Amino acid sequence: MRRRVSLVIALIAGLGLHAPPSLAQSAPAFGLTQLMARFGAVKSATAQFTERKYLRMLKSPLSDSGVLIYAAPDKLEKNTLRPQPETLTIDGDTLAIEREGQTQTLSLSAYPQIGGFIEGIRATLAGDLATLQRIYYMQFAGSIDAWQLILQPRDAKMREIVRAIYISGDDVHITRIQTVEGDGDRTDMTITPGSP
Amino acid sequence: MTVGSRLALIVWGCGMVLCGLVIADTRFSADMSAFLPRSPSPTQQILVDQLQTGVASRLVLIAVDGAPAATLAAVSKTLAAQLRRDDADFIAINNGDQAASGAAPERDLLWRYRYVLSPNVTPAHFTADGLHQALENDLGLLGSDMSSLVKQSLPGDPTGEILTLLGQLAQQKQPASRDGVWFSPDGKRALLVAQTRQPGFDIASEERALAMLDTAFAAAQKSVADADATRLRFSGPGVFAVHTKTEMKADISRLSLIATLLVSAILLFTYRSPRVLLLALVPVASGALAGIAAVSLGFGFVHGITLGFGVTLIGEAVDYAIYLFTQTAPGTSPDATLPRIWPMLQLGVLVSICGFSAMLFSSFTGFAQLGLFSITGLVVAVAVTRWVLPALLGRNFATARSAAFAPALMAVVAHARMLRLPMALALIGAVAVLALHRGGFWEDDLTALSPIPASDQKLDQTLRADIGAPDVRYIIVASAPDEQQALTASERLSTVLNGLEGRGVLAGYDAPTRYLPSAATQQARLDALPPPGELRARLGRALQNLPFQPDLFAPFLADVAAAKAQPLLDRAALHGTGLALKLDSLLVEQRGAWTALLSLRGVTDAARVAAAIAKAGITGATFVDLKAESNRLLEVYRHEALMLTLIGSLVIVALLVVSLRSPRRVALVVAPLAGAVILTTAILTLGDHKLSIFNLIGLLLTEAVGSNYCIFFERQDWSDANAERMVASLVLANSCTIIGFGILSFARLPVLHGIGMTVAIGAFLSLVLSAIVTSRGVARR
Repeated sequence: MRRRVSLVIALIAGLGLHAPPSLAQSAPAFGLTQLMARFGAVKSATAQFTERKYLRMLKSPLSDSGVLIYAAPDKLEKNTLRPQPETLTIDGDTLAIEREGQTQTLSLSAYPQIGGFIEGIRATLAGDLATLQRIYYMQFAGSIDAWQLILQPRDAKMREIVRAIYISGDDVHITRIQTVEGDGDRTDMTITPGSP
Repeated sequence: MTVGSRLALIVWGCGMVLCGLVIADTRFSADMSAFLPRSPSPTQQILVDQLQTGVASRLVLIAVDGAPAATLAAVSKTLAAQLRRDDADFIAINNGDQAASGAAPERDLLWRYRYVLSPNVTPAHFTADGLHQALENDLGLLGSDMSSLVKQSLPGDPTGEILTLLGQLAQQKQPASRDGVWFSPDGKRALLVAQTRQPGFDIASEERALAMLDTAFAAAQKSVADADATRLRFSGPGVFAVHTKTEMKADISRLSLIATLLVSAILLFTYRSPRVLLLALVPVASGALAGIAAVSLGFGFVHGITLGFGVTLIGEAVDYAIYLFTQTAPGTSPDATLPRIWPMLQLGVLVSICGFSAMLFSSFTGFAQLGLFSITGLVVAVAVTRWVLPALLGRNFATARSAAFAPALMAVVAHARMLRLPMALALIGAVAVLALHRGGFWEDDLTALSPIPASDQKLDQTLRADIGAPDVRYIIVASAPDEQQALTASERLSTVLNGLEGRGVLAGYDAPTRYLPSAATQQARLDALPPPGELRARLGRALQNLPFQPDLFAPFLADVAAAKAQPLLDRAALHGTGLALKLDSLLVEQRGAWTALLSLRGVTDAARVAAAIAKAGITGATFVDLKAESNRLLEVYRHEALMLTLIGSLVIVALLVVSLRSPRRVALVVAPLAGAVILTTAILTLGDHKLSIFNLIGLLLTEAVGSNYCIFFERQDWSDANAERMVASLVLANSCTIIGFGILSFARLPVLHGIGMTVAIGAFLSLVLSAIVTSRGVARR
């Protein structure tokens, strides 16, 4: 455990993030409960995003951008506009990805590793602390207008896919989501509130 | 005792012993498909066979409910683990738990054979341009939200064959899932699908498997916390077979017992002599034994339903003994009575045989058995009455009390004439009921004939909807002399269907060649793959100006070379995966012929599909609308039942014409019978009820049974002192018949219920109407 923790800390340091003091501790701070309650009151939200992906398979990073739409309690849509239009919709247990006129549908619970990752984002937006705690070890730090939440999957298999998710925000606006995948690939998404 | 009597007793005794020996060696069956026609069209034969032995017949749908989802999921996992250890009864258990259910070997298999399975493997796909296009697409996928899904397979499969294959499989709707296992959409039931080793009609094996299921569930309940309130329910063809058998057994043993007790009580009350009671049952028992033995010899097995009609034989065959006993006046010998009543008995039995023999020609094995059973039973019963009973009775037998209620009956019969007007009014009313009947006379719903109780059918529908099992209406059947030709036909059909799918005529389809392409197609796909050196060169060119790391696709080059070297995919390689299950249900070998079945989803224009299939001119391929087919099947059943009833009636009339040799006398027998049939039909269809084919067969039996009363009434010389005894015997006999068939109408199985109710009503009306029609002589006395 200690090795993994120090690895994550090293990674976070590598990403230029501030590492919270005690990662092994998982009890949520009062601030998190309060934040979750505020998120819980949000019924819908729209934001723009830009994303950069650093993949080991590729010599250079990939970037894309688009719009995020959330509707309480469990609907999340990621509308990528550039470079290729793609729509990812999560509604309840169904994950649908539409690309080039073709839609691929998955059941989230049938792919718990992927499902867990999406659940992390969605549960945060929904203010669903119970679900987050069920799936992740959680770390919360900062103040209500500049907070950071670190999610680490409890399930070892899921950690092979997603090592950790770092969510930063200002009140009920998520400003940045960074994902470190099991193989070291990472994604950095910056989010600005409002529609384009 | 005369020499003749002694001889009769010896023949009877030996016959009964022989029957006993045959019966001891008889196979009894509860398979309800005996009540399906014997010789349907080839397409129907495939469907019937599939129903009986196909993969579908081995499925058991299992639901666990009554607790929160987490508890149900835990029970589902434990139960599945238990059942998977039971190799003897179950060959596959699926509860959606991918870690445990063997989805891994399935994925490994798809991966290993992706180049022979994927329809995208064409020469163009593997040119430098084709590869470049695929790689650009991969780059798009890596940048997309599917990156975590494709990353793993990308180095070995840049052309995305595995994604194509998984995409094809994902087209089939999967059940909802919670906590990693299948659930109903509302989350109230955890779902499992089990496949038994033996087909559903193998009732003994099914019973064992279901008992195993109960045991495993009880164990799972114990090992999971808070699972005491959970409940296990299951459905499926095998479950139905077991339930039907249990129900049939319960029905038949219960109803036989009740009928025997009631008939015995009546006889005991009438004759006040246990000895007479036992003697009255001798013809019945002899007839039943002989009937079962005859069916066993003629068909090789006896159906449970046939035994059920033993109940009715109690009512019908006991009549003969009643005629003999009741009509034997005190101080006379039964030997003297017999010559007097024998002509009527003889004609009555002959008419009954005519009615029942129409059933011999039924294409329903079940009805043919009923016919043979009844004919043999009646012939033996009447023969025993004629030759064996007098020997057993002795010379001085007389039932002094038997006619105690006869004078009162005579008074009623004497005034029956007054009922002519009400009878005429009732008949007019009946005709009106029939004329004003709305919504068609015939039961159009095949399920109404099904022996499966409505509650079981409803559970089955619910579970099927939960599991997302498609309610397949349209299929294409392609028959061929061997496996490869069947697969080739399936591929040619797939090409046609792909075109139709593109034009929106159907939403999708499933074909055996999704899981096992023909050898020729597999070879063509392998030939489309370039040799290793060539592929490396083309890949190099394709990778130009793309950001992929050099050497990333080394596994791809190795896998293509390996694919070209390994043997083609065959049925054996699929063994033990979910794909084998699918293939087994879509590619069937029967009696040396192979059949490919393609099931269609979301058909918007069936006529267009049928036309396209016909136009393609693929040998042995037929488009089947299962709903239309099942309606047609019902049509065939009904037509046959109608023809049998008509022919049976005509033969009965012909026999009466020949033996009575007087139009007036024939009319006196036939008129009450016809009236009874009309009134019975009207009563059955009151309130816009519909007639089932079982009612129709019941009408034929009404004629066979009811004619006996009409014949006795018509033949009677009313001035004879024996008239009173005759009327008494008829009423007694009729009561026993009504009890026999009436009890049958309480059966839960539609076939027993339908026939029982029809004949009970019909037999009663036959007696009443013939009394009314022929009672003129009494009034004159």
